[in-house]
Amino acid sequence: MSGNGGTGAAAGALRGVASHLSLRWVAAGIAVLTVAASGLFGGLRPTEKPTVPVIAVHTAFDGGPWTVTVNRALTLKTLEPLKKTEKAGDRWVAVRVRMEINANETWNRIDDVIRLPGVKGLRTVEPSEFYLVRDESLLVRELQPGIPEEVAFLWQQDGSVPRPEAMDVELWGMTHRKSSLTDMIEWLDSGPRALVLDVPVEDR
Amino acid sequence: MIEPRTHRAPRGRFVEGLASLGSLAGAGLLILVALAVGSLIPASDENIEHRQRPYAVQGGVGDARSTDKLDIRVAGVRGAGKIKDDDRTHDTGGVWIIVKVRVATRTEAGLIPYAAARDRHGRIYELSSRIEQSLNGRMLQPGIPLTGELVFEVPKDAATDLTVLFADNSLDRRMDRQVEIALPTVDKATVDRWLADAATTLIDTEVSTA
Repeated sequence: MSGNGGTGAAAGALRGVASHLSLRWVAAGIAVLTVAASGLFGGLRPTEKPTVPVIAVHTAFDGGPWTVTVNRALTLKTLEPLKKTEKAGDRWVAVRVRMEINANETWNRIDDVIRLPGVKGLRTVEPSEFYLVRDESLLVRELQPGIPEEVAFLWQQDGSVPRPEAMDVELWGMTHRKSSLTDMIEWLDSGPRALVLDVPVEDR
Repeated sequence: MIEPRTHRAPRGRFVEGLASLGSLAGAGLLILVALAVGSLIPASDENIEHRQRPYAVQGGVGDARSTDKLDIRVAGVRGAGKIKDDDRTHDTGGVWIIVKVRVATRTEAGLIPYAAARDRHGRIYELSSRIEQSLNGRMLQPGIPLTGELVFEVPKDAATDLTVLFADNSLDRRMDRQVEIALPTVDKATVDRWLADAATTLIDTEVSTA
C-alpha cells in the first residue's frame, strides 16, 4: 500500500510540475536531451572524410553508369574559335578521358563524372564544357550507351593563378539502387569514388 | 438426485509438455508464414518499374499509330557508318540509324516530346545531338503532318533489332501511352555493309509536307 501511495504521490508531483512548464521550457528540455544523446555518438565533432581508392593514369575505372579512363591533363591558352573564356586572360584546364556509358540509356549528366579538388582558381566546381574528340566539337552534352568516346572535360581557370604542373583528378560514381522517394531503381548517391594522383599537366 | 462429479485423471507432465510444444510450434509456423508472405511484398515492389511501364501501342513500318498528342507513321529506315548534315561529316563508334517518319500533333501545336530507339536488350538511345535534326525541336501544327528524318546513334550489336519509341513526356512515361514501332530486323552482314560503305550518307535536314 505504501508503495502505491508513493508512486501516486510522485505521479501527482510530476503532473503538477508539468502543468506549470511553458512550451519554451519543454522545447529547451528536448534540445538538451538531443544534444546529450548526440554527444554519446561524437556530437558535432567532424567525421573523417571517407577515403577513396587511388588509381593510376590510363586505368579504367567503373563509376557505375560510366567507365572512365583518365589519359591526359592539359592547360590551354585558348579554345577559339570554339569558345572564349568568360573573362579575358583566363585559361582552360582540360582532362582528357576515354568514357563509356554502362547505363542502359542515353546519359546526359556527364558533368558529374570528374572534379579537380586541388586545382586553385577554377571558375566552376563542375566542368563548364565538354569536347567530343571525334567531332572536334563542344556541342555534345550526352553520350550513348555502349559507344566509347574520347572526351575532354574543360574548366575555366583564373589566369592570375599559376598554371598547375600536376593535378589530382577525382573520379565520381553513382549507385544503382531503389529510391526511397520514388521506389524506382535509379542511379543515385553521386560522389567521389576514386582518385588519380599527380597527373602531369601538359601546356598547349 | 445429484450426480456424483466425475474426476478426470490429471494429465501427466509429459502430455502437458507435448501440448505446450505443439502450441509453440504452431505459433512458430504462423510467424514463418507471416515472414514468407511479407518477403513477397518487397519482391513485388522491386517490380514497380514493370508494373508502371508505359502502355505500348505497337506497330510496324507503314502503320499509323497515335499517342495522346501525336499521330505517327514510320515510313522507312536506313543505316550508315558516316553521315553528313548541313555542313559536317560525322563518323561513329557505332552505327547511324536514320528513320523516316511522318508526324503531326493531334489537337494543338507542339514538339515531338520524346523519340528514342530501343534495342533487344532494352537499352534506350535518344535522338543524337551530334547533328542537326529537322524534326527535333520543330514546332508541329495539328492536322498538318510533316515528314522528316530522325537520327539515332547505336552500338553495332544493337543495330540489328531496334524499336522506335514515341511518347508525350520526355521525363516521366510511366503508365502513359507509348507508340512502339518495330523496325525491320537486319542481319550483321547488312550492318557491316553500312559501315564499310565509303560514301557519306546525306541526312535530310529539311522537313516536307509530303
